[in-house]
Amino acid sequence: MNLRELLTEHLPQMPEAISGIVMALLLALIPALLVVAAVVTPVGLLGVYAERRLSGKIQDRSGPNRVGISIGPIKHHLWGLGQSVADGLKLLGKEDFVPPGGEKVLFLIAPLIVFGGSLALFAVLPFGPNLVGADPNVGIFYVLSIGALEVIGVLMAGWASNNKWSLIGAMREVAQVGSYEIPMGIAALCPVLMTGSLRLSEIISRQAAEPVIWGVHIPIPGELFLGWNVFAAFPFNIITFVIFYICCLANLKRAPFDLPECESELVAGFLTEYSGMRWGLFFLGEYAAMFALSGIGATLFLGGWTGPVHYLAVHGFGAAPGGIGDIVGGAIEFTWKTSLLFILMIWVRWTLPRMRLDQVMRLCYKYLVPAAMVCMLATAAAALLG
Amino acid sequence: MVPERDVQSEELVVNMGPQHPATHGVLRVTCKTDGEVILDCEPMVGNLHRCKEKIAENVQYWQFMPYTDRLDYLASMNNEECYARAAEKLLGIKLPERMEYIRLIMTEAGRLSSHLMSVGTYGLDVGAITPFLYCFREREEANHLFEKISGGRMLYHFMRIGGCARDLDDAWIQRLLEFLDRVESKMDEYNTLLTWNKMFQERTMHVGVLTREAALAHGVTGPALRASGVDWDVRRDDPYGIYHKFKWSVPVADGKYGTVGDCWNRHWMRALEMKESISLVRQAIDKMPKAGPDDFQPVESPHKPYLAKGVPRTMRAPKGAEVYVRSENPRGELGFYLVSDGGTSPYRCKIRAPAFCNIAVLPHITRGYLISDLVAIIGSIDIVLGEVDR
Amino acid sequence: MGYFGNIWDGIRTTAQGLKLTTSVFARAVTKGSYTLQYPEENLPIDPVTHRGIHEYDVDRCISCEACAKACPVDCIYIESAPDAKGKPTKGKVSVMTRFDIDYSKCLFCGLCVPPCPSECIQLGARYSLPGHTRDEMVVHFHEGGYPVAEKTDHAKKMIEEFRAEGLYAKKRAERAALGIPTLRPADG
Repeated sequence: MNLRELLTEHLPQMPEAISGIVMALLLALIPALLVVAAVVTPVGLLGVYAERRLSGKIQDRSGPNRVGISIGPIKHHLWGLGQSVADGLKLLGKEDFVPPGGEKVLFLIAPLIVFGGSLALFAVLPFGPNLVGADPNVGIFYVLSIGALEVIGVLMAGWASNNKWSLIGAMREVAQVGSYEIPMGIAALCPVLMTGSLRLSEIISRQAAEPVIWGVHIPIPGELFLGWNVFAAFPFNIITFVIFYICCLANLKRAPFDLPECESELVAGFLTEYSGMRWGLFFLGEYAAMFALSGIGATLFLGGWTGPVHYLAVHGFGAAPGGIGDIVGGAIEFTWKTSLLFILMIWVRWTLPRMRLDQVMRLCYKYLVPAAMVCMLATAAAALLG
Repeated sequence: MVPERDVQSEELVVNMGPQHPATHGVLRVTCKTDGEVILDCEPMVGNLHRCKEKIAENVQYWQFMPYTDRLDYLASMNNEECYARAAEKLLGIKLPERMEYIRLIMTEAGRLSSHLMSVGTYGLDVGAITPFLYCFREREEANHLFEKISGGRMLYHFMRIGGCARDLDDAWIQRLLEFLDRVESKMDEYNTLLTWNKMFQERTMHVGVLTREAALAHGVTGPALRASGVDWDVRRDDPYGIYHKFKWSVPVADGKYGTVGDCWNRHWMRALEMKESISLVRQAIDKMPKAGPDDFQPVESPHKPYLAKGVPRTMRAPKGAEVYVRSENPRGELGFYLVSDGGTSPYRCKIRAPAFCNIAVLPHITRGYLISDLVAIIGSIDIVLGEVDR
Repeated sequence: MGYFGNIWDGIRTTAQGLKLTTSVFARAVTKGSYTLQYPEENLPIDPVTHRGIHEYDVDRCISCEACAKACPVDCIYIESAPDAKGKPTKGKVSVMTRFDIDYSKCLFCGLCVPPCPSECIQLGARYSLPGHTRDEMVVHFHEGGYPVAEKTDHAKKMIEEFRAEGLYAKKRAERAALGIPTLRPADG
């Protein structure tokens, strides 16, 4: 339609439409801000702390252990928990530097896109029964596509930095993350095949049902491990889970796939020219996305918020479905699984050397994609059986 | 309508360093790349030039000793030993047997400490940070040891012309033996995390292959030369000191793993040399003789050096005398060329720095590899910029 | 090595690496990590052999300048008060008006220590000398800030003789007359 049509035909309805848009924005914005304040920032800060502390112990040193509280007579080092907060405050006070000759606008919005991308993942993350922002019927599809938004931010950052190292880093990111979307998508299809739905809540509830493995019905509650998708089409979905996890590492640019920002080759890759809180946003976004993707992995393959702790809460302590016990049990269940996957990411990072770009690509196309295909076929067969 | 543009691709010139995390100091490498593939590169040295050779001409023979520490600052002990031997040869000083044993123990322990660093930082170059810190943990023990005996943690200034700073006592030797046991037991850790790790092997095997011919043509020495399959070690082939008295072998790459001359083999040679050094130190400690009654000057206080009898206070070499003395440093063949004009300081001092000669081969072995490989290759050559630039 | 051999090798060596890091992690958590908490904990330092910041007894110094001549970087500056003829005092009667060491130049090589005939200079166990300017890197040792702490047998004997002659008090008084304070007495 052209402008004339718009003005003549649709103008009368405009005020209503505008108020609708404003309402929708407000409705979306307030929960989003709440999520940022209550979930993402603490998760990011705790993630940074966990990374530094665990890597310290792995390397036979202490890691941050000083920054605690000192309010009047209350003095405690708090095992260094305040370190991330202190670092964040320091970053806020730093100069917001834009490299001369760079694309200023792109440079400034790139970290927002990366951070926003990982933030959006939290919208569908099922923390517990009824403890979820949104449960769209395209759940996994949403996760995969929003997760890919980060690439654009990184490419912008690399291009706008006017720095050759940044550009090389951004190009590596595009090649790497673009490639790993393929095995990741195939691996994520396996739970979908078992469930027959893209909706995350249905994937979870299917894992709580009594398990059927290769058509054999096992009469125990699915929440006691065996119902989880990782045991579906045994042993193929264990491989699928590993593939999904490796793809998560690659998409998050975690070692051994930290090629876009590897400090010993590209100085800091696409982050080279960033400083202050914009750099902090990249960092926070990375840790938030680590947590979110760990949560998605736990939801798809490890039963999400259903599992032994939740089972104990419902059947051991008699919590009513939808009641407070149910929700708390589910939330604890979800948290321990996600934290485990999160810690595994840290553990892997501080053990392995970095790969080279061609090796990353070879791993993807030569090993992960065929393996994921085989696993998907096996899962399809298992799904047909029951 | 998208306006037509000239789409053209061109070579990218990236400037790596001098402030780059993986160039081991202030090396600057300008690389001409096609995407990530390196077409050509050129190491630019000289950012750490401190006129060491000129300083040698302006200070007395014994005053130059602390400066040699600062050549290859990771293997100070070996530099000192080589310079001390050069000066002793020029001045005609003979060493008692015990001093030769002390020299050997200290240089081999220094080699061990230096290789710990090389192996660890090589892990860092290929992205494994943890083995780097494990190596540093063990190197820290070596630093304690050297600090205890020489007073310095890194720049030891232990050797003196005609002697050393102080005699090795039994308690210290006991600690040294404990340190050797500790390193020997921990070497499996480095090998697990690096040498035998599949990803590390993928990164380093068949990468940066330096052929035997190219290595000889470029004057490459040390572990890098032996990794190319050339069986050459100054300690054995141009013997000095008392190396002939012990049973030890020179590790040479045999092509069992990877390609002869690749990065992995250069790393592996260092790991094997660490074992040889441990064995040499143990043998030397076993056989070390007591000092004879006329061997050494009396030491009045713990602050006076432990010198052989007959070492003059004022050192003057005969006019026109010249020596070239070389030794096997952890990084290759270190040589000191000294010319005397009869004064108390050398007329000319030329230092043949192994790292300087080894870095010259970099363009030759990086062409056609990726930027990631460049970092791995620089790390495997194991340069120390203090020595490259002098 | 075939396709599946590669996969197996990758998994096996990765698992070995993870096992190793876990064992180090467990050891660090249960038995404490290798590192020290620096300002509270310090590495043991041998006070005799360590080559740290100098220790110097201004009273016993005979102003012979042997240390300054031995220094390869010429970072020691020595001046003594003139005698009746206007020449700098040397030997036992010398009164030090300047003994500065410029630590922005010093190599900590220890070559200044062996030549000293009265063993009044040595390198001590102190290693921390932070400052913001180059001037702060110059330490005025003639003010007696860092007297020799770890004394050798030979030095002890010399100190006893020196004290018996009552020279400590005399030297201090002479320096005080020139306006040079003594921060820490060497015989104390």
